[in-house]
Amino acid sequence: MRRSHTVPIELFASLANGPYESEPYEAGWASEAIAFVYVREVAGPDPRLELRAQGSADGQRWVDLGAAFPPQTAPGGALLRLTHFGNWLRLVGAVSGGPSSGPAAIVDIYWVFKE
Amino acid sequence: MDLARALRRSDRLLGRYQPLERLLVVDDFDHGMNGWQGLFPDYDGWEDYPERYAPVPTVPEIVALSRADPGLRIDRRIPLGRRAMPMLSSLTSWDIGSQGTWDGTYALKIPTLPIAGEKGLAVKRLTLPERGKLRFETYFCYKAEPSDFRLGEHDVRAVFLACDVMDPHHLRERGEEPLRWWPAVRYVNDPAGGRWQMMLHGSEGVLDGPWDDLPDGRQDLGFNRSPTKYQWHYLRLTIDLTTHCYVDFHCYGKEFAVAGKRHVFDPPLTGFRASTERCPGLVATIFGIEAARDKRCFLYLDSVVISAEGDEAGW
Repeated sequence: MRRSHTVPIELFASLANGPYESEPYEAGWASEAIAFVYVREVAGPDPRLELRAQGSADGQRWVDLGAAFPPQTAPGGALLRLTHFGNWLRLVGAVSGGPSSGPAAIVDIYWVFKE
Repeated sequence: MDLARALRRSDRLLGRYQPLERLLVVDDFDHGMNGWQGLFPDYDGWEDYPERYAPVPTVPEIVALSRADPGLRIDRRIPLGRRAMPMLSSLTSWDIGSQGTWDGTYALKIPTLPIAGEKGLAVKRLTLPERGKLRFETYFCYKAEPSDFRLGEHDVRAVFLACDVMDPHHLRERGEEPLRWWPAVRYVNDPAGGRWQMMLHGSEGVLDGPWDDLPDGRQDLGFNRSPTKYQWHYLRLTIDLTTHCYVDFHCYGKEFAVAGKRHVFDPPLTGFRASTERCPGLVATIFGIEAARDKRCFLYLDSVVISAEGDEAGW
């Protein structure tokens, strides 16, 4: 039996316009990872959440893994499949088009790992 | 019993532990998370702790509030909010690479957010139908993120082992009222000298004290002279579920005089919060770390052993 592990890294996160970085996560034991993003609500004239996956050898210096979510502009869910990511993982990106004050999107984000 | 002891001594993991008679938990993090998890507070709404919190709405109520007030960051509201999640770590850093653990590849890594005062937690909830002595043991080390190339030995404010313990309800059948108490130990990584504290009279929260200094609590744990060299320490805490007393506490070769001490809620908790309702038999076990500065801090556990012995029910 292969082990799997699910990590909620954001719950009801209120993301305002600006950059986003998830906390670093080590998952070297896993051979596959899926990032799930659930957009609960959006607000503002043109809300847009762009996220991509990054890896790192040391947990400090990050490089793009070449995988990105399509821009999220409405409530719903999306996933990103990753393999060959080494050990350290995070998601980075930007939120735009939200109101001048308050969140552009309220989101939940998960890592789902499997050996 | 001698044969049992000899078998344990020859076991690669248990050989460096001192468990009581009955093994309840033997968690080697080379074999997964073993049920240790992040903490998410109760989220069905509560208003029973007026001494500390204003009434906390349910999650749907918080979302409704956020619709009415777009400026309200609902993730800053109890019980929601950012938190760092525990993970399996190979102790990988820029200079050494993967260091592995005391005896293997992976440790349970409990991180904080990079914010002073933030706590990182990993929880395991046991439910114990019987009573008697209960012993927690681990091999642990702690560090701050090495990103600024500084030693960071005081970026970690404290590491702790805290428990939320509630008696089983069948005690009522013999005329005893079930009790809730919070046995806990905390190492304050004070620049003036490290020291151990205990929960003896606190009622702020399972993790929040107030904490009492142990009279013999001075101890210098090994942080090492490098931000990325790890020194593992052995820790043992034993409590008595029958008498609600601490039995013994030991860290890295020093035995502290705690036998007979108790945790008593002072000031007393009131109402539902003081009760054991819905959680009879709970022994929630929480390992954690607190950041002193705006840096990620990490508590690593190589392994955890929880064991029990002795009560009239035959443990």
